[in-house]
Formats: sequence, C-alpha cells, structure tokens
Amino acid sequence: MKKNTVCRLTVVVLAGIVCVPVILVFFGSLKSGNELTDSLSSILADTGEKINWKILPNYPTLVHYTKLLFWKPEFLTVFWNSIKIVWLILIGQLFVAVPAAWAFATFRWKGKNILFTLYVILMLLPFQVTMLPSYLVMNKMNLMDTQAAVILPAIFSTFPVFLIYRGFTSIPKELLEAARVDGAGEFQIFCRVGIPLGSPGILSAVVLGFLDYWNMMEQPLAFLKDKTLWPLSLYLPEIGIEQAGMALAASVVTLAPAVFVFVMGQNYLEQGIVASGIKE
Amino acid sequence: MWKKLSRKFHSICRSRNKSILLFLMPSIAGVVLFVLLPFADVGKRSFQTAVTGEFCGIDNYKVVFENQAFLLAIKNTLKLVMIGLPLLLVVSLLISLVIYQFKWVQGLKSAFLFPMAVPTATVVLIWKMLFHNNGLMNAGLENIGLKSIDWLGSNASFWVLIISYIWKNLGYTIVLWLAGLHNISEGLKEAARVDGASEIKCFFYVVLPGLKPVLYTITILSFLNSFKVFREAYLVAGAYPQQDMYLLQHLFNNWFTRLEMDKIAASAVCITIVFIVFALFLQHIWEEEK
Amino acid sequence: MKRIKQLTAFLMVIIVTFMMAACTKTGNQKKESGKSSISNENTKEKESAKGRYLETVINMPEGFTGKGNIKRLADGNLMVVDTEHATKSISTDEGETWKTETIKELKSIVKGETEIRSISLTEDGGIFIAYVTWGKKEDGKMYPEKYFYQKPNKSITEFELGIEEYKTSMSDSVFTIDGRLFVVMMSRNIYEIDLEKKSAKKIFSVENESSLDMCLNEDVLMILGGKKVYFYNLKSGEITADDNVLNSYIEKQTEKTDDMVMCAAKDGKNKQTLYLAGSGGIASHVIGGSVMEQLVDGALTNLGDPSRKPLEMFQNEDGSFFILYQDGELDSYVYDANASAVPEQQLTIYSLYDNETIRQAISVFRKKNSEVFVKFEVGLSGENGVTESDAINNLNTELLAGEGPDMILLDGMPLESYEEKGMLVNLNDVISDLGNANTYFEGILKGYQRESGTYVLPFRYYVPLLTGDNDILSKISDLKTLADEAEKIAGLQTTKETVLGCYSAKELLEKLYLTSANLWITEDGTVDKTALSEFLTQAKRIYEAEQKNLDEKESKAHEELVNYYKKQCDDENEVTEYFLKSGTQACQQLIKQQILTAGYLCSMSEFEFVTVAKKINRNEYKIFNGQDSNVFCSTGSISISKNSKNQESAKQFIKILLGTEVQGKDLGDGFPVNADAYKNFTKNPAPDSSMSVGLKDGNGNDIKLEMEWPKQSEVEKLKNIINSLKVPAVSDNSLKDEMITIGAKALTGEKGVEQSVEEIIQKISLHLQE
Repeated sequence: MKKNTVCRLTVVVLAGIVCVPVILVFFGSLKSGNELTDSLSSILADTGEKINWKILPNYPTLVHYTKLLFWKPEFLTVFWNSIKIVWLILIGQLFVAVPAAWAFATFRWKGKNILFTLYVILMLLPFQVTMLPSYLVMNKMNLMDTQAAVILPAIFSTFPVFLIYRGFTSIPKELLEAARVDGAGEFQIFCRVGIPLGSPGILSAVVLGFLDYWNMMEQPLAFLKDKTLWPLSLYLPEIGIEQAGMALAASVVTLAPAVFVFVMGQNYLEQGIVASGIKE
Repeated sequence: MWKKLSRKFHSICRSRNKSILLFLMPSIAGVVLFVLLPFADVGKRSFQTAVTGEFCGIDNYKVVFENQAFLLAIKNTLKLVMIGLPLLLVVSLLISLVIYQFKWVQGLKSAFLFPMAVPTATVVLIWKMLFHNNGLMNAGLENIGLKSIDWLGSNASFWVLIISYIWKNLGYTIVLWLAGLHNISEGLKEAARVDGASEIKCFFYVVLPGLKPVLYTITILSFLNSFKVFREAYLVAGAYPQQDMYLLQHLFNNWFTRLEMDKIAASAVCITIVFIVFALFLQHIWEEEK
Repeated sequence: MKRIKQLTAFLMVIIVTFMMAACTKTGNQKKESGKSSISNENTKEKESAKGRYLETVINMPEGFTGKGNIKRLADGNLMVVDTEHATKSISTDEGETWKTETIKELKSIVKGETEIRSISLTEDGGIFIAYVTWGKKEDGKMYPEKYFYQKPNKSITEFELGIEEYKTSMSDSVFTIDGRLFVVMMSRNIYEIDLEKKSAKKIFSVENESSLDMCLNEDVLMILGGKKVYFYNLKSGEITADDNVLNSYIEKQTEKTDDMVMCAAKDGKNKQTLYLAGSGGIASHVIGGSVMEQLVDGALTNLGDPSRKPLEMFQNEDGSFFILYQDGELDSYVYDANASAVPEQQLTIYSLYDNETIRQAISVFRKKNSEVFVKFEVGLSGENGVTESDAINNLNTELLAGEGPDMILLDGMPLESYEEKGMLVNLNDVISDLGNANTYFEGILKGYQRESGTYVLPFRYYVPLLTGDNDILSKISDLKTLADEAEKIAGLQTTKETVLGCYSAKELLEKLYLTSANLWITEDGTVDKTALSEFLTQAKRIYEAEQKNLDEKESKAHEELVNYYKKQCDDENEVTEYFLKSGTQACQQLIKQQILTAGYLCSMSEFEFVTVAKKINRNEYKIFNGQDSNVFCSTGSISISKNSKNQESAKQFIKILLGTEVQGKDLGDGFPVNADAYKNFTKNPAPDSSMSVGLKDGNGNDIKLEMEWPKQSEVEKLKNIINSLKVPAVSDNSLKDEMITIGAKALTGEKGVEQSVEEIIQKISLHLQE
C-alpha cells in the first residue's frame, strides 16, 4: 500500500513538473516589462547573477497582449497566415491521405508492403536533405515565394497515411465482406463504413498534424521570402530584454489555438491512438 | 518503382483493383512529385560535385565517411536514439502502470499530453530560461546545495536533448501504453495468478507480450520525433552547439551554409539505407507476430 | 454530458470562425497597411507593368548650393532665395532662366558666422528668415536668434523674440495662405508668430527629436515630428496625431535615415492627401485613410541615395512633384504612363548587412545606365528570428539551384567556401581594366588574389592604427613588442590610466583579434597551437598591464556605460565596434583614459580626431600590427556569382563601385581602395567652418578641442600606411565569439593558457572538421 502511494505521488509530481514550463511562460507574459527586465537580465545580458524569477507576477498586466494585438498589424497578418496554411494542409491531407490509407488497409495487392515501407522511410527523412531539390521542384512549378510551396508538399506527406492506416486496420474485415456481399461498391463501403469507423484515427491524425504544422519552421523559412506570407512560427522574434514581454505574450497566443485544438480533440486523439495501437 | 506500377496495371482488369488505384492515385502522385523526385535528385547529386555538377563517382562518399564531424554527428544521433528511445519507453511505461490503477486518469493524461501542444518557439524560450548558466535549473540546484551545471556548455548538453525529447513525447506514449494495458484481458492475468505466478512474473509473461503491438507504433512514432529535437536544439544553442549536442541536422545545416551539397547528398543516401534496414527489421519482427 | 460537451465544442467552433472572419477584415485592413509598410522593404513593385515617375533635374540659379529655399508663387513663377549669396531669383519658365537680384539688407546679415536656422517664403514673395550669429555673444543672451522679414513690397522688419529665453532656435517654419506664420523650434514646441505684433504664441509640442518638417493644407497644419505626424486644425484648434497607418509607415522609413519631407495637396480624387518623400521613395496617404500608396520607388531615384537628403518638397498643379535636395539640386518627378514600371534589365546585389557605399554606387550606376534596375537585397534586417546561417542557407539554396543574385557581398559569409566551390567569377580582367583607368592601392585591391584568379574585390576597409607617444611607438612593431611596452608603461609610477583602454578581457581580445587571427588556422584547416598560445600569452601580459592601474570603480563605470549604449542601439555589435574605432579611442586618450590606442580607422572624421590628438600630446600614429602585419579589415567585398546572366553589367557595376566618383565620398564605412579617389576622400568638406569639441576628463575638467582638418602631410603619411596594407583580415566571424569567450578566461586567470587553447581547439574543431 505504501509503495502504491509513493508511486502515485511521484507520478502526480511528475505531471506537475511536466506542466511547469508552460505555467512559467503564461505567468511571465503577465508580468510588466520592468519585472521581466529584472528577472531576465541575468540570462540575457550575461551578468554573474542568478536568475530571479518569481512565479506569480507582482503587478499583473495585460500590456504585452495589447501591444501585440493592437499595435502590431503584422502579428494579425502572420497569425492568419498560420491558420490558413495549417487548415489548407489538413483539408488537403484528408482528401489525399485517407483514401490512400484505406487502400493500404483493406486491400491486398502485390507490392503493397514495399510501397508501405517506402512511405514509412520517406516519412523519416529530415528536411535539410530534400530542401534543395524541393526548391528546384517549386521553382519549376513557379510556386516559389507562395504559400502553396509550403502547403502542397505537406499535403502529400506520408505521415497521416501511416497514422490513419493503423486506424483503419482495426475495422473488422468481416464487416467489409458483409457489405460487399450486400452489393455495395468500394467507394460506398469507404464512405459508409470506413470513414465513420475510422474517424478516431482520422481525427487523431488531424490533431497531431495541426500540432506539427502549427510549429513548422524550416519549410516556410526556405520557401517564403515575402515576410507578409510568413506563418506565426517564424515571427516570434529573437528575445531581447525589451521584447521579452511581447515574446512571452506572443508565445501564449501561439500556444492558444494549439491547446484549443488539443483540448477539443483529446478524446479523439486518444481513441485514434488507441485504435491505431491495437491490431485485433 | 516502375515494376510495382506495371504489376498494378496488369491486375487492373479486376474492378476492385481499379478502385484501389483510384484511392491511391492522389497520394502517390503527390508523393512522387514532392518527395520521391527530390530524393532521386539528392541521389544524383551524391555522385556529383556541389556547384559545377561534374560527375565524381564515389568521391563524396569517401570524403563523408572520413569526415570527423559526420562521424560525431552520427554517434550523437545514435546515442540520442539508443538512449532516449528506450528511456522514453520505460519511463512512460512505468508511469502508465501507476496511472492505470488511478482514479484521476483523465486529468493526469491531459497533463502529460500538454507539452505536445507547446509551440517550438515557446519551448526554446523555456529552455533558455531553465538551462542557462544563471537559469532556473541551476538556481534550484544551488538552493538544494548542489553545484550548478553548465547545461549547454558541457557534456550535460546531451541530457538537455534527452530531457527535451522525453518531456515532449511522454504524453502520447503514456496514452498508448494505457490503451494497450486496457486491452490485456483481466482473465489472462487472473489465470496466471491462479497458476501461482508472482506479480512480477505476471508482468513479464502476460502483460509485456500483450503490449507488443502497441510497441511497434510507439517505436516508429518516437523514432520519428527524435529527429524533431533538432529545431529546439538549434534555436537554443545555435549552429555549433556543444559537442554532445551536435546532431546530423546540425551538420547538414552547416554544410549547406558552405555550399557542400555533395556531402549532404552522399550522407543522405547513407542514412536512407540505414532507415530502410531499420524499417525492414522492425517489420520483420512484427510480421512474425501475426 | 457528452451531448453538452459536443454542443459546447460546436458553439466554440462557430464563435472562433466568426472571430477569425472578423480578424480577417481588420486583419486585411491592417494586412494591407501592414503589407505596404512591410513590403516597402521589397523594392520590386508587383502592380502595373507600365508607368512610373521619371526624375529630371531642374535648372537652378547659378551658384545655388542648397542654402536657401524655393517656392511656387501664386502667379505660377518659381522663386528661389539663396541665403549664401543673399539673392532672390525668379523664373517664369520652370527654371530654364532665372532673374536674380541681391537683397542688400540680407547680405550684411549673412556675412560672417551666421547660421540660417530656417527660411520660408510666402506665396506673394515674402521672405522670412531666422538666423543665429555665432560670432557675437551678446550681453546676457547666448547667441540670440533673430528674425528677418521682407514683405513683398520690399519693406523689411528685423526683430528678436527671445522665445524660451533664447535657449532654443528654429527648426522649420511655414506660412499659411493668409499670411500666418507657424514655426517649430528645436525644443519641439510649435509657435505661431505674429509678424505685425512681433509676438509668439505657443501652440503645442511634439514628442520626438530629429526630423521636423511642416506643411500646410487649407486649414490644417501638419508637422512631422520624428515618428509621427501631428495634425493641427487651425480653425478648431484641435490637435491629433493618431493616424496609425501613417505613423507606422514613418517609423519604418525613418529607422535608418531621419530625413523625410512632406507636402499636402488634394489628390486627383479631390481628397486631402499627404505626400511624403524619404529614402524609400515618395508615398501618398489619403488623410484618415487606411493605406499608404507607394508612388515612387526610392531605389529608382535620388531619394534612395544615402548622400542626397531631401530638403523641401511640393506638388505642382499637374500632379508632378518638385523636391529640393540639401546639395542644391532640384528634381522634378513626372509620371510617364508609357515608361516601363521597372527597367527591363535587372541586377541583384545580395548582402547580409546594409552597405552605404553600395547604395551610393547604385545611384551613380543608375544615372549612367537608366535602363538597368539595380536591386539591393539585405539578408538580415535584424527584426525577426532569422539567423545568419538561415539567411546564408536561403541564399545558397538559390545559388545551388542555378539562380540567385548577380553579385554577392561576402562580408560575414564563408568566403573560402564560395571561392573553392567555384561559385564566383574570376575578376582578373576587371582588375586590369581598373588599373588602366586609375591607380589603386594594389595590396588591397589584390588582397584576395589566388593562383587561379581573383574572385573577391574589397571596396572599403578599415586601417588598423596604433597611436601614442612617439618614443613608445617606435619600439612597437608587433604583438610581442606591444606587450613589452604595455608592461613597461603600466609599471611606471606616473601611469594612472589603462594602456589601451580595455576594461575587460573580452574588450582586449576584440581589439587584438583582427590583426592576429589570420595566423591561427593553417592552410589545411587545423589550428596552429603555437600561434594561438603565443597570442593568448601576449594578450595576457597586456591584460595584466591594463588591470594594474584600474580599480573596480572605473571598471564598473565603464561597464555601465557600455551597457547603456547597448540598450540604446539595436545592434550590440555596433557598440563593440564603436569602442574599437580609432576616433573614439583618440578621445579617450585625450581625456586620459588610456595611453596608447590600438584601433581601426574608418573615416576621415575619425582621422581628424587622431591628428588633433597629436597637437596635445607628442602623439604619433602608425600601422597597428598584431601577430600578423599589414592587415586591412575589409568592410565591403564584392564578387560576381557564376550563375549571373548579366555578368557584363555586373562588371560595369563593379567598375563604378571602384571608380573615383563613388570611392571618393566618405560615407563613414571605410577608406577607398581607389588611390586616385583618395584625394577627394581626404578633402575637407567644410573648409571655412571651424568647430570645437568639448570633452570632460576623468576629474571633471573641461578640455576644449579645436577641430582642425588633417594637414596634407598627415594625409600623405596615412596614404603611405595604406600603401603597405596587403593582407585581408579574417572574414568569417563565426569562430570569433567562441574564441574570445574562452580566451577571456585565459586572460583573467580563470584557466591556464594551455588549457584555454585546448578548449578553443575542441570548440572550433567542429567548424574545421566539417
């Protein structure tokens, strides 16, 4: 019994520790500029003293948020860019990856395994490797310096195929056979049976995808020169003492939609992960 | 690639296969255009000089294999995966075992999943605050009476990577383990206990095997995510971090700054071969299970 | 429960979608204005393919050098008042011919040391001048400001007002159509002056220093005060300054250069419009509207030339603009609908950092080649999280894909990589062409010459200079002898200050870095341990010599000063550079903060300080050699990319860049490589004026320096020093910070020299191994 309580306590404490960083940022964004300068000067200006950070602000203020949202028109532009890019990617992925995952999951055909392995490998390649040739492809298609250069490759990413595939494999084959016997066409089976039953998997891919693309940095940096097209993730400036407040506030604002999506989708995320994790 | 396509075309007569093609077409078309073609170009470049494009055989490969920085990066990346991945799996498994018996499962799960939602830039900010020489971690250490550690400037930097990696990925690994645990029927466990097995034996012989399918997914996902640690490391410590933090992508990044596309291409091909082996190996193990 | 959760989720989605839609609306509006203000950095206009404003020079009265003003009279004629020669000229034919007459009363005023603070003209030919006579101090009043007003009927009034007890003077003035006079003072207060009653009434004040310009439109007085435009409604007395779109545009434009002028008129659609001219070009803004419209691109006109600053601007009835520049040139800007919006041929120049000389060269090149559009791309704007290596990577992506800019400035970039990989064009033929046209400092011009050719040409550089007592200097020839002397000096009883003015180990290493770093890395890419330890050993001796006579208070005070500067500047590197300059150090020397100076000379105004310092002590100066000798620090090096499709035009550009016209202008960013241009470069820009500078030494005593332009003998001596320079300093700064941080520990004794060398080798081994 004692052992159990100790274990439980440890876990709870761990959970708390895990959340600490975010709490730091959140309360930090509410601190006034002066407080932040005092606290952060030891880090940013390399003096010998230790950081002096109180968790709760002495004089909570929303000034950084107002500065950010109202005085910096670029911020809204950039925020909207992120939303636009991410949503377009996700919708595109739905149209492309879901059918592909279905094909992998429900049919047997020659070369399926090889193709699937190929997909998995392509999923793992780091961006720096393919950056230059991707640039060439974008250039030929005249997509450089447009958001399409960032959106299109992402739509065809093989990662959601992998995730959704696992979701689909949990659908009992008998169900599909029964539908076929009943005379349903493949497409109908896909729409009426596949998507509803595989929806946890699909939604989990959407949530994970959102979190991934909301933070995407390398591709926009490489392909977008026009700063008015940049997403939020590139905008957060290098933090200097004067701007620490705004950077923290911007972080919280960047965090918010991700958290929102996450909270909304958590159930689906879990169900989806669960479904993909277990092959009956 | 062509062989596969032609095989498919042969069996196109069957209507079911026609629909397969339809389902796959968009994905494959895009993948070929945006992923395969670029990669093929990389392969081509691995046999050429960077700027002038002259053919130079396997010169690039030779240079790359003898390159100290490359070897260091490979070593570190391997270290990260070899240590980080198992560590992550074990820690998350332990935590999920404890949570499994808990009542507040939901809340705890959310807490651990939370870090996944945090954007990279915020993470960077937090790491800076925590791991700077004058940062919170050291302040905390000194309060307890321990010596402060030069997190980013010594061997400890490797552990910063590990901590960052585990922190971010604990969430979904726990969720996955929990799901797997749920799936192990109580009946099986009861039977084992009745047979006289102790808790620990029960764990090793009933629970663990039951978790194998989940393990496959977790491994692939965690492996993938281990590469994402780069961006945070780069933003916190710059292009030339402490030696133990120096990963493959750092190398690629710096090579690119010096126009060394040929070296990048050659290393990329090598790494891909490793991936292929790894993926096949995993598949082999799991296919056996079926 | 689940139902409720689902419903809430659904509601939230709807709310958020609405919010986002609303955001878009405002976002779009702000995006548009944001776009205009952001995309002003992109000098390419994407709108129409045809139509742009053409710039032509308008003839001005002879001898006019910009001291005065111009006005469009009510009868359509142009009137120019030249305050240098005290003349008034009228032209009835748009500048073709001018009828000039002298204003006697004005002539007697402008003789002697008079400074004209402001001059404004009325539509009917009246002239108002505010001036200060520096030569005479009148009892009780410090250099009073006086006013001269000539009515159209030639009657003259002269008076004083004693605004703010003479403690301030005028910055700009403007007349309304009905003859009211509004002025803005240096103290940032706006007054209305009644010329009949000879009184001044304060109206309001503006926030910011610098750039104060005024203009009028019907009932509204508009004042450009630093970063905002204030609108003062003459009828209602209401003062507003909240046109955010306008203000943020101005803030962006005046980041680098303060000079902006404006004028107001009703535009084609009969709306009150404000026109602003600055380095980014001419923009129009409907007052109260949400958009800034770019009419004229600065890069295509004199406005983009850093050495030309606009003085006055007004719009003519046909919609064209006249802009008067500070050097006296009057340009007209007329819209030609048939001219192509952007010239056909385009040359791109890429640099990580901004460069004044390049901008100058662009403007000169443009005049001679108006059909070529030169675009200057700056990689690091310093505003967002783009790091140097990110910017270089982006550039490299383009280059490796076979595209990219025509010319690249390699400062701050891995120069050797570009050379070795065959990315650059051999410029040996350019060198011989240049050599045929002019004489050059050969050592510098060919500084980057390799066996296979020359791929990089420096066009600006700093001269490393050592100054100090002649006896001491004669014994110093390299780093070791510098250390020897430093120890001797520090050991003397009479020495109370530092030797080189370095208060911290890092500062010292920064000073010594450029002239020694060359020798630390060998040809095959490894670290020369002996050279590096030798450097640190000598540096340590110098450091200890410095510290001998320093006490904590002084160190702290200096540190605070540096931190204060760092907060003021956007770029910390600027501050570090500031303390490295010979000019700054010469001042420090004069106020007895240091005995010798080892620094980098970057402009003639600094050289002025160095030569003036000679007068006071037995100061001399000579070349500063570290471990390496005859090093020059290139601050601008240019190369042509192999991918360029306009190599011939690019070579033309480089020839102009290294030609006498561009090289001869001192823009504060380095010395000329063109030896012929050296003469112009070293010419005194203001031979008649004299200035004195006041300094306070450590004890609070005032030291007054009479500034005197360097004599010909000094100029020749400097030329000889420059002639001896031939080794380029290290260009890749990626290793510098790490080396200095670790090296500093060796100096302070935290670590041993050998240990530090080992650590440095370990740290930079990654760089070298890659």
